[in-house]
Amino acid sequence: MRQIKLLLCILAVTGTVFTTACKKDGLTIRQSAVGLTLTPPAGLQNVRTSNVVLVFKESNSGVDSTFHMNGNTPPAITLPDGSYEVTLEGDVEYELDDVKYSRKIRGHKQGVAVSGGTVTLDIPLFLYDETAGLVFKEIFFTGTVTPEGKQYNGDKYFIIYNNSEDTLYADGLVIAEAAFLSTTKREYDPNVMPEAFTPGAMVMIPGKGTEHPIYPGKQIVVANNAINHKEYNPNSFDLRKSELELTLLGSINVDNPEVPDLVNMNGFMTMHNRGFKSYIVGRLPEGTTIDKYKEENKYTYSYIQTNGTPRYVDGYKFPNSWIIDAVNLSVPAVFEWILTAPELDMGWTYCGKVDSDDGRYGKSVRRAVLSTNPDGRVILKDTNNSTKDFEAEAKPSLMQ
Amino acid sequence: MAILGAALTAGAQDSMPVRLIREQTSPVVFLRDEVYASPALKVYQRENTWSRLSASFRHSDQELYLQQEGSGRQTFNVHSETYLKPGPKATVWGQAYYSNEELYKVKFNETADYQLVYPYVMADSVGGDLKSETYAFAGGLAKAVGAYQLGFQAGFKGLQTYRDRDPRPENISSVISLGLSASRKVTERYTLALDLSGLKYGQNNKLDFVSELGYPLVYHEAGLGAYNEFLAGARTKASFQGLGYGVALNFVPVQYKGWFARAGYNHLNIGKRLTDIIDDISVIHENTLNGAVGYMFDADRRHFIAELRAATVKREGIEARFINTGGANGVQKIAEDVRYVHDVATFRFRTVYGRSGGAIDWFAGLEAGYEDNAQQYVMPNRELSYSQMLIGADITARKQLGGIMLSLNAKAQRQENLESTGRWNDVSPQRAIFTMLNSNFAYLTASGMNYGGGLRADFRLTGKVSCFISADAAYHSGIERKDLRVTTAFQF
Repeated sequence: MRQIKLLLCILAVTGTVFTTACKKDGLTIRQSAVGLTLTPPAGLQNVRTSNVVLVFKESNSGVDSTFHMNGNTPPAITLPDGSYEVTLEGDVEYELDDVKYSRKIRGHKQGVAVSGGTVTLDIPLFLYDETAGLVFKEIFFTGTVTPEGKQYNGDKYFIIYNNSEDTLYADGLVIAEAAFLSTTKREYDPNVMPEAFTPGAMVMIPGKGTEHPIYPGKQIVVANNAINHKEYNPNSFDLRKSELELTLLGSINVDNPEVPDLVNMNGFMTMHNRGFKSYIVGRLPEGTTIDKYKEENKYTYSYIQTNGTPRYVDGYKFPNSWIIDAVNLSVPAVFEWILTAPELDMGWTYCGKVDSDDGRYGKSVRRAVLSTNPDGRVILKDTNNSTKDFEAEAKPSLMQ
Repeated sequence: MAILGAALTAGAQDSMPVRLIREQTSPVVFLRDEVYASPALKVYQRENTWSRLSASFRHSDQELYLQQEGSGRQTFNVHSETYLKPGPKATVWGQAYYSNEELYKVKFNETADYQLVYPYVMADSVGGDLKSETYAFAGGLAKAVGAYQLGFQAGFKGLQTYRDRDPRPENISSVISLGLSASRKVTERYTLALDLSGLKYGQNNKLDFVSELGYPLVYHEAGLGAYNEFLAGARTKASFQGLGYGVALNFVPVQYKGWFARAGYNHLNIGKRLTDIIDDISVIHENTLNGAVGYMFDADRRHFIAELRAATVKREGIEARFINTGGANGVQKIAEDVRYVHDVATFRFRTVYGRSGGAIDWFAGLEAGYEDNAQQYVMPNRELSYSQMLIGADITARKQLGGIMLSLNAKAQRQENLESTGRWNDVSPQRAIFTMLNSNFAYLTASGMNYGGGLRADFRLTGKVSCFISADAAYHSGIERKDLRVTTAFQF
């Protein structure tokens, strides 16, 4: 009798637990309410926003949440807890000195933590202008691959395009590569990004002002080495017709004496072949020499290394007001932040979806065509958002 | 064949350890061994003591398979095992083995011990064949102390998996297990045992590439093909640390006649970390409940056992969300949620009846099973669920022919999928993950017939040493699985 009681006891406990355990639960995840405020640019009066589209991109899941707003009252927003990149685009009407204006307005914020039930978020807004002169039409930074499967780097290039209806001159143009990486976000101190770009390598197109004209709808090619690369790599192309060429590190530089060289302002422009850096094209103010620029814009920034100690680095500032065009580059799988103020470029483009993607070679980023004028002049898309303006992983235009 | 020839000669001169072989080849004993698996019940597990050294070769391949585990494997195994009663009050057991394996077509998984750490494996869409080596040893001791049997057992298993071409995983894992148990007779015929168990798990999971041109996306799977984009890319070093514990209660007859019951609970936690991130990126919590009830008798050359088993396993995957502050603390955890759940409920009934001592020994078995299996992932919402049943019958025949004891077994089973749901609408059909999910779904929900059979020949080799050679083969029509195993062993 005793053993039967024990047996029944074990069976009863097991049965009860099984009945409970077999019930399936629905899955829910934590969400937080976002209290949003939009701060218009300083000095504007009677600001009225309309047709505003807000996109919250959660960087862990990659999921976009889109909200629409008409008027100045932000919508009620509830989001799954996470880390967000917020972009805003819309129309704005405002008054300045008793004159009414209608413009486009934008806002952008990276690394927004949404958790804990409620979050307040302020997004500073800025005006932007879609008209521009010289723009990067194409950046070919990946290089090519030889038939033996080796990397080939000397055939990279920039193409700068005149997107205006006036003849512009490339003399004195500065092309600069970011000192930072779009795949490694750091808290740099001081943070100069709102007012300046921090360049690493910088090169300048030589000339006295009118030596390198770029006619409306025309372009110049700035090659790494302006030679016929097909002689060395059948998978590459002929860059002998480039208007200009860089002076690279001695070990990889091949000079074409018939093509003018750019002036190296700071270091050598090797162009990161995985696309971790950003590029700007700009111009020093009238009468500013390279030495004077470097003297007046030198600064020291620091960041905390992974071992907890600070690292101090000497660099330069290139004021945002001197910048004509900017393109942020990164890699989707390892992107962490953009390296320019969002007023210059609030997006980014890429070649290769993952770090060291072996499919990136022989691909470039090319600016999309907006329209073609009756005179045949092509207008390229330039909304200061490289995500929308550029075709990622495009076929290089110089590849036959 | 030379060994077999020698055995035939020797076998004619010496008698074989017939009782031991009968025990080892009895389907009733196979099932009964699990009833007496508790360290404090080991004394009752077998009537005969034995030690064995065996080597085996196994090859399997299949058309439908879980991509993360591969399409088959080839295994060489050397195994030693012992079960002894050195004194009237003590029982000792132990085993050690080495396995060298090649796993075929493993994709979307660059981590070892998939069944332990899933779904949180490091993954890419390339994969390939994997090499694997396992070293394991375990042992235990049970002793009668007054009215009690006290048992203790411990074990270690070390595993390394690697590949010699890109992508190149190099994974090393270990499991240390410990068990404590006490039993006491509650009546003359029955005893009650309480088991406590624990395990510690660890794995270093590393992936390398040597290609100069680059490599594919490496990501950290979070369940049903979902992964954290923030952590995808170049994070190729991970580690797992886990702890588990369990408790079980066993009620068994001491002389192979009577009712038996078992109830147990196990809990397992495994956390996964990546280099440079302080917090766990994911944690597994798994709760297992299992129970069994049955009846056995072994008398008058008649052997019978019937058992109904049930188990539920609930695995919850807690996934963290991170933000890159860019500051001294770098990547920080800002949220976590249960995003993955896997529920499994299984019920299985098996009975075997046999007669021995006649012209031929025979056993006939019947079995039936039911499984309800559901995986869910939230945001994006995905689901893979199915239920299936299994019905089968088997027969074993045994006869002594001169100096050789031959055992022959055959089985047939029908596995039938009853219901299935696969939902991953957010995944583009162009993506490799879509193909993986569909392939896994086809494997998990396949119906078909399973056939299997085996032959074992036992003979005395010399003195107290006997030997056996066995061959088993199986075919599963639903997944086109072919499985072959050959084993040879020395016993004394």
